[in-house]
Amino acid sequence: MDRSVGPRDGLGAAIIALGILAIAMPFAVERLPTVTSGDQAALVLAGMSILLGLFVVVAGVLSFFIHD
Amino acid sequence: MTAVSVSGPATSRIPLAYVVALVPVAAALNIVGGTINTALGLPTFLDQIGTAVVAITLGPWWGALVGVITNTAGAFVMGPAYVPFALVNVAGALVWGYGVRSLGMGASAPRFFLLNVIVALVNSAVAAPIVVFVFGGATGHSSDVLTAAFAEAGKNLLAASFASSVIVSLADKVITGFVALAIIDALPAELSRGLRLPGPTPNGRLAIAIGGVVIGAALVAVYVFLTPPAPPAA
Repeated sequence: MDRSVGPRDGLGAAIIALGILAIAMPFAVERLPTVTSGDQAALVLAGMSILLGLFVVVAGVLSFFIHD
Repeated sequence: MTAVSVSGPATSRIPLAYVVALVPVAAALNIVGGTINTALGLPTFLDQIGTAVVAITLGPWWGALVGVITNTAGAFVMGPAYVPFALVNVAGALVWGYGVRSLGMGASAPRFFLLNVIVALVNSAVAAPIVVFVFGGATGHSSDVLTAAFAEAGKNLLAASFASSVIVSLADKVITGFVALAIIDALPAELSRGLRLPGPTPNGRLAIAIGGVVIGAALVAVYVFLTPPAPPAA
């Protein structure tokens, strides 16, 4: 069996990975030594979510233009 | 007799076997590079070499996948502070991948050097808000000394973090980009078929890669000599 993959598959894999990163982020932020209170963790998470969201939006937009 | 071109256009489809083989190895290479860098306390990062190799050979989004795997899996080795920087790795993958594959930034050695500089700038733009808002401006990296110096000179923390990140990333990304070029040179030719990369011959490409790494190492040396020594721990 000689399967091949294209840019669309790569984009799909990356979007899934970014989703997994979004899931992993709260657990990571909770354990950061610099984050001392729950309020601060929420603030950090909000900031990271915005940054992560930008990448997911870029990935989503590119999925319309990408061709194999 | 007519000349026959042996290198066709960059093929968009690649065997799945290459992805299955390269992506985990590239992530492991990133983690090993980052761990060695941390152990030696170098003013670099060296955790995007695999990302650059995959982004250039397989495509930018496969490189982004390597970036996310590196920082989430690397958190088990380097600690949870490593996870938020996955976005920096993703940004690097996109710039290297689209830069070489779509914009032809790998066509010559100077253009490839410029691409690495652009990667350093983009990475710093993504990393600076993470360093400031998640870690309060200090991550324990050797560039913290420079950030503190810039902040003392009157810059706000975000600008100071961005400036120190650019200086450190510049040397790091030049080294990373050209080491990646040397690795690509050693991979099967099928992976780089149709890509416009520096060097007329495989040997020429290796020479350019070594030259680039030497320039990057020289930038690191300049950085080490110019930065003030870190204050002794209390």
